[in-house]
Amino acid sequence: MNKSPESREPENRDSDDRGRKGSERTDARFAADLASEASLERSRTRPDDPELAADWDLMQELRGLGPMRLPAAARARVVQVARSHRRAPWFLAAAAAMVAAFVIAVVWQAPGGRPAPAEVSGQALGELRLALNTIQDAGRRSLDMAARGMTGKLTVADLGLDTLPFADRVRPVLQPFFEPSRGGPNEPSPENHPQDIEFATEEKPR
Amino acid sequence: MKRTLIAFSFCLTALAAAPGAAAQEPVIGQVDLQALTAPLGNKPKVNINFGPAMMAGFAETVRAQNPEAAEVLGSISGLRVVVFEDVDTAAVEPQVAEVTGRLARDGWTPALEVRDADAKVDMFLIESGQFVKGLTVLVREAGGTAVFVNVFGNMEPAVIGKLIAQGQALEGLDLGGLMKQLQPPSGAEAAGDDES
Repeated sequence: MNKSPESREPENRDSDDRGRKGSERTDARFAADLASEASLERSRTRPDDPELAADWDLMQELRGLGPMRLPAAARARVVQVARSHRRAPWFLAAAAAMVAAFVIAVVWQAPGGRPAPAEVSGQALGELRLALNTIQDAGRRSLDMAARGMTGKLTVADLGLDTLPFADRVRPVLQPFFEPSRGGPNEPSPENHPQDIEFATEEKPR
Repeated sequence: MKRTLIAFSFCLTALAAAPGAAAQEPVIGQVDLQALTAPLGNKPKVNINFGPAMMAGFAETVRAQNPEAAEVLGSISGLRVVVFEDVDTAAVEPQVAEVTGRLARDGWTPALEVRDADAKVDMFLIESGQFVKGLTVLVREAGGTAVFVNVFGNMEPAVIGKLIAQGQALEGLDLGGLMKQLQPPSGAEAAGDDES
């Protein structure tokens, strides 16, 4: 049932031969056409065959044509584009200079560096003191109110103050509110509030 | 030539505009408190606003007498303190809510919030690495006093503790004495001689 490759070999060989012969014929015809085309181009006399004569006429006519000229507007545009391309390096240089100037200016004005110290007057120092007193007073009052709200509910240990970097500063303020024996929120002892400062109600010095 | 001049003018424009662009760069920790003053009448009893140049000036002024206080002041780039008295503090609540909402969106941490019958307090901190970049305290008392504070810079947490808890930010510094030295003769009495 099954045929081995060897059993089909004669058929394949026949078809290969037929293909090779057909191809040789086509090549010969193509070469002949090419030769006749070349002889037609070289010929100075008009051939008799009407089809070849038409081809010969077309070739002669094309040979007689000169180069086409661009319309004036298109020509001007092409020239302009060519000139602008020639100037491109100047504009690239200008753009680079602009970017460099911007970068220098930004770096120069970068906020990283401290500004030059301003001249300080006694009045300005007074304002600074008032500002610091006000900040301290507002901060302490806030902590006092927070501590009042936590009285009886938490202990100082519950606050986890030891984990804070400024625990030693905060603990003396909060301590009295958690230890009634040392004075509650309404009766802060002097030793627990050694630096009570009046709320900043004075007029702005300026 | 004409185009070269145009490009050159662009360069000059860029140079002129760059400082403005840099100046408009928002500083981390700095908060605009102006919106809070409008509902209260724009006439604060205390209104102090020091920028980086003044803070650097303070630091240099006290450096000879107390280098530690100079370091504390040098770590503060600016501070703003606004105090109102005898005002309807409830009127500013919508603006406070707006500001606190913006701070929360901008990455600030609500460090303390008190809602008392006597007062409302919001304290926000913003940190970067080991430094506190900004502190904002908004106090509204039922008695009619409102205090708005913003301090910004590169402050160590201990500085914040000294500022708001113990008042020892300038410990050991004779600020009153310095004020007397710097005060013109006519205003010397008004300066006072308290130590801060």
